[in-house]
Amino acid sequence: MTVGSDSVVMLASMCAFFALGWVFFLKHLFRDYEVRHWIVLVSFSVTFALSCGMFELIIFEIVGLLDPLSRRLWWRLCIFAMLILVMVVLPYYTCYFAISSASFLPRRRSVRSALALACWLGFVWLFWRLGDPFPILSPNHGIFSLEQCIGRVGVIGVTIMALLSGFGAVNYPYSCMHVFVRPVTQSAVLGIERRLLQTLDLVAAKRRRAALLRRDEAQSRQASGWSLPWTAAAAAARRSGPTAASVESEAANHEELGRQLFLELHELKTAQERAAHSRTLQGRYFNLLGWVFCAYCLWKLCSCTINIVFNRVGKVDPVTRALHICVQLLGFRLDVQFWSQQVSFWLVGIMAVTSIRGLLLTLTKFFFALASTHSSNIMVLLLAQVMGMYFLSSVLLMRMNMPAEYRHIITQVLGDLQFHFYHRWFDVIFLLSASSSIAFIWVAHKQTVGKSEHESLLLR
Amino acid sequence: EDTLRVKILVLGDSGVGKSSLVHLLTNHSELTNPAWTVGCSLQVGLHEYRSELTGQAERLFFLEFWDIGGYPMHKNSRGVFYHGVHGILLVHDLTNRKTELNLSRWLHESCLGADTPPVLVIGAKSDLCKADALAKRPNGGEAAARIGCPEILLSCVDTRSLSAGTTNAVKLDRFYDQVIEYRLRPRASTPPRVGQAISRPNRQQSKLLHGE
Repeated sequence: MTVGSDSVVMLASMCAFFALGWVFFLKHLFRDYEVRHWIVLVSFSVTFALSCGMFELIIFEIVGLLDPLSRRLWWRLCIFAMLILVMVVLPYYTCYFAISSASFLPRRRSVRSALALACWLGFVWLFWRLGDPFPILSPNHGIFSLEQCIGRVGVIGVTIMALLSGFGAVNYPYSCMHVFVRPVTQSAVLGIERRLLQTLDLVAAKRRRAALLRRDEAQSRQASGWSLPWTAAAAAARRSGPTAASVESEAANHEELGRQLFLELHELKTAQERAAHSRTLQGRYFNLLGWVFCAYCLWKLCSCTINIVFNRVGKVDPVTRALHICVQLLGFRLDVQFWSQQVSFWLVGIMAVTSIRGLLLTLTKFFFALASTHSSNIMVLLLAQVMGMYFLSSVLLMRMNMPAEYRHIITQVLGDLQFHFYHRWFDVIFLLSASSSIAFIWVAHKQTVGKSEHESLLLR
Repeated sequence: EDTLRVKILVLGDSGVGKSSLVHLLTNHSELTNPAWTVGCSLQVGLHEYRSELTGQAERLFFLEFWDIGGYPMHKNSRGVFYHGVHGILLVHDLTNRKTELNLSRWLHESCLGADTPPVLVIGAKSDLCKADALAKRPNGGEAAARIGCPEILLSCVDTRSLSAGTTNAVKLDRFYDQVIEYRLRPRASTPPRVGQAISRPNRQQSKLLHGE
């Protein structure tokens, strides 16, 4: 196979990934907003296409598809394009949209572009200083080499990966397992609804009074023919009783109470839905998955602690180790070469798919929670940047899970980075993130359990 | 005081301008510091109603505007606000077409019972919209046509959009009158139960109710 035909295959798959990212953006992520700037849509889709392309190249490496020369060429192209996106295009447009949404700055296009350029230069400087305390600089690299950029992007990406994994590993069992499901009675829900409606009735009564008082004040102002403020205030003082403003402030206090009650009602309803879901077949299946995940999380915490305490760097990847156990300890007769390739293919494939799906789900959740009409463009660009850095670093870390003969392409393409540093950094951040998530969820759980007990006492 | 109350729901996606609109309708001034609405914010306005049929004197009515926050994740708790409704204001953002397409979903969510109260569609943020886009919709946009009700286009920061004598003010007054007539109408059937099958309001029914 020549370089030309290989490039056609790669180009076709890149276009397919681009279309996938496009459809995901329009139909799912941005479904409540209008796309006004096409650059946002295009840059998101290109980032997604390049990320999927990198995983595809790893798979091709394992399976042995395409010419090694064209694979190397496409690797370099992907890495270079990804770095340009993550370091130049996305930050510049984030700054540009942030400046456009600030209303106190001038509206001229050239002024905005100049300010955005200045902000971007500030970002690049910050980005460079970020990498100084880390052992990224190796004596045989220049100052502005590819390895420097990848090293810094890798640090940020690995941090994000470890934070999300740590939190997810703790939160997923908590949200799935039935042990943590809070039983909510229908009477508790009806009680809160009744209190909420009573509070709103009180607010309505006060606001009705305020509306009448406002009308009276306006009429007396017109009748007296004066519109001076101290005359109206003197008239109000003579007339005994509250003014519209004081009644209005009382109503605002009751409305604040109503807001708290509404949020409590929302919590109770969510807990009720969760309890109902746990009784279904799907709920039981998720419960089982939750137990499995709980065991995995504990094992990962232990292994991270051991790695850090004993400063252990794993030299053998799990695939080779598993085959070694099978052949030498259990005595199976296996064609190691063939099985190593098969198992790596499935392992890397599954990890790639779950990693992409997991990140897209998390990003969607963040976007729906935080975005509004004004900030939707900026949020999407930030999420695209996080996605780019995340996938670049996951390629970096995936090197650890592959047998030695497939590792060297990544080593060649990403340059001579200190790979064991990134794994150590991942372990440290994962440990910190998981332990703080456990503490946080423990406190939140204790609070909600205490509140529900208090409410059931009140109802009795 | 011989005054009666009517409950008007103000529905729409998050960020379209419901709170600013309600402030404009009740205080006749611009809302200077809009904050995100969590749950329901209740404001009260006054309306004088003179029944043409019975020729009675004018009576003062309290219009209670229930401005409901539009977060998608609060959907499971909003049902408590949808009982005993006499009128519905559907608000959409003229700069974002998706909010208009979601209006029928809001109407479907809030109508519990066989008959629908009077509905009025309001297009907000007309000051941020281009003039030619506004000119394309003199008789109401898609959502208003599908539901079968009139539409008003206004800007919540401009107090002159609803000044007396404008078409907008006339349509709004007619809506208030319809709401009050719906409230005063004798109810022969039993009140709707929670959890009853929600029926989609059709155009013929709405047209008959609005006397068009």
